[in-house]
Amino acid sequence: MGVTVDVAYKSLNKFTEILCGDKVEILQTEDSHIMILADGMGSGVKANILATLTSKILGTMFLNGATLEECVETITETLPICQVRQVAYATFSILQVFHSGEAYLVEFDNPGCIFIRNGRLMTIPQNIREVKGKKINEYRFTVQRGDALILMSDGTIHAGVGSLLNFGWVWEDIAAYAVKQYPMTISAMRLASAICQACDELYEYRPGDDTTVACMRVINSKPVHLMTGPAQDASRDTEMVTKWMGGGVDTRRIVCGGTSATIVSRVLKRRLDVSLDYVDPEIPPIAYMDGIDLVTEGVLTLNRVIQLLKRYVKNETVSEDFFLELDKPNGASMIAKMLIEDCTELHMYVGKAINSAYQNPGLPFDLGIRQNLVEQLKHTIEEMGKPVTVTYY
Amino acid sequence: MKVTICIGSACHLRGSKEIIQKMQQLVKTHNVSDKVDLNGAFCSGNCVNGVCVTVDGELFSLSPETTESFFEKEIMGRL
Repeated sequence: MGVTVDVAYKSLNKFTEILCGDKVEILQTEDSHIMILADGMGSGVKANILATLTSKILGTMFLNGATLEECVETITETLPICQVRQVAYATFSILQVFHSGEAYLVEFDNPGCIFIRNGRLMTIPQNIREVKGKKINEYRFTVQRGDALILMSDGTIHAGVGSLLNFGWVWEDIAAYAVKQYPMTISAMRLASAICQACDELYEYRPGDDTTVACMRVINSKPVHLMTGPAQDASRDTEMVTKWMGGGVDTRRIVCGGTSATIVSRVLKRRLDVSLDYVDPEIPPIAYMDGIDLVTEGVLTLNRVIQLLKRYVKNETVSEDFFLELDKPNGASMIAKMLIEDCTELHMYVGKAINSAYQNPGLPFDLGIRQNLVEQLKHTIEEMGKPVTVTYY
Repeated sequence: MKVTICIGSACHLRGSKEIIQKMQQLVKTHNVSDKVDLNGAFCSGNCVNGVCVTVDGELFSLSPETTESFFEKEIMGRL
């Protein structure tokens, strides 16, 4: 079937804690995407270590083809034992979706996965197996395009307990809320954020427990082709533009850079309209060209894009404010939004030509840093769990 | 008359935004918006000297400080 996924998560730290006791790992194998959510016992440093160890061990072993038994055994034997409770303990959920559409869900003591298909809540059957004394639920199924799967730590179902809600936000109500949010949110991040935001409100902005929502949406693949910088050897302009214009109807195309845009305009014989609309004083206006999704200035815009993406990857600051920033009509926000919400893989076509005018110490910003920005962009997008290729010209 | 102002990286850093604002203001105060067509442009390849501005294809280099006198001379002067 060739499915791909949009994965994102959002965590709230227990009030006053600097570290989160939940940890999400997002991984890829050659034929699958894996999302792991671990919730360490307690809170703060201890919980953070337990959760990190658990998610990392599971991730690494899964990647190397270990069985569930081996993973669980390793975790049990590796986790440090809590002095207070005399046990080593972290709950976890693992979701693996193969490109073929086959999916595998493993759950240990976390609130159950919320599975939404065609706008309806699906039931995940009980199929409990005891592994090393732990009762683990396993479920093998097939996903379809449009499916959303949500993993959560128990901070979600405890939201509001004892104050706004007698028994916290019960699973059924969270699931109903998720089903309601599902058609209103386009990306995994917005769905995860919406649920997390609701928890935060129920906690009256003082979460009593670490709260994490991790979401995977099964989507069509959405490649983005980004071209920036003129080719070192101008005779390769046409080749570079042709490669960048390649791909199917689903491919989105961005060109970052005035000179690059001019080259594209020349090679494709399409008119370039540059707007004078300074929506953000620091980011030069965007331009328009028929059939091209986004035309922006280069280095200054990319620099801002990376700032936004780093904020996103760091996760702590992803809130309503972040999305307001992302929805702004300046070039950088528009690129960042496309890369975060409307992209499953990024292909960059990068020219290595050096603009002599940028080698000018009189300028208040070093413009000669395109390749450095490209590297940073590559790493940040990879951290988001999306594959990136870079071709230099 | 077609006037373009470069908003590429280097020109942006040298004050394109300010020049555009001044030009738009000047066009308004001189009441010549039907005669002067202001446009954005990308790099014209002359970044070293200042913000690139073209008037009917002729290239000039400006800074925010010289915008007003430039407008009086090269734009109003040609109308």
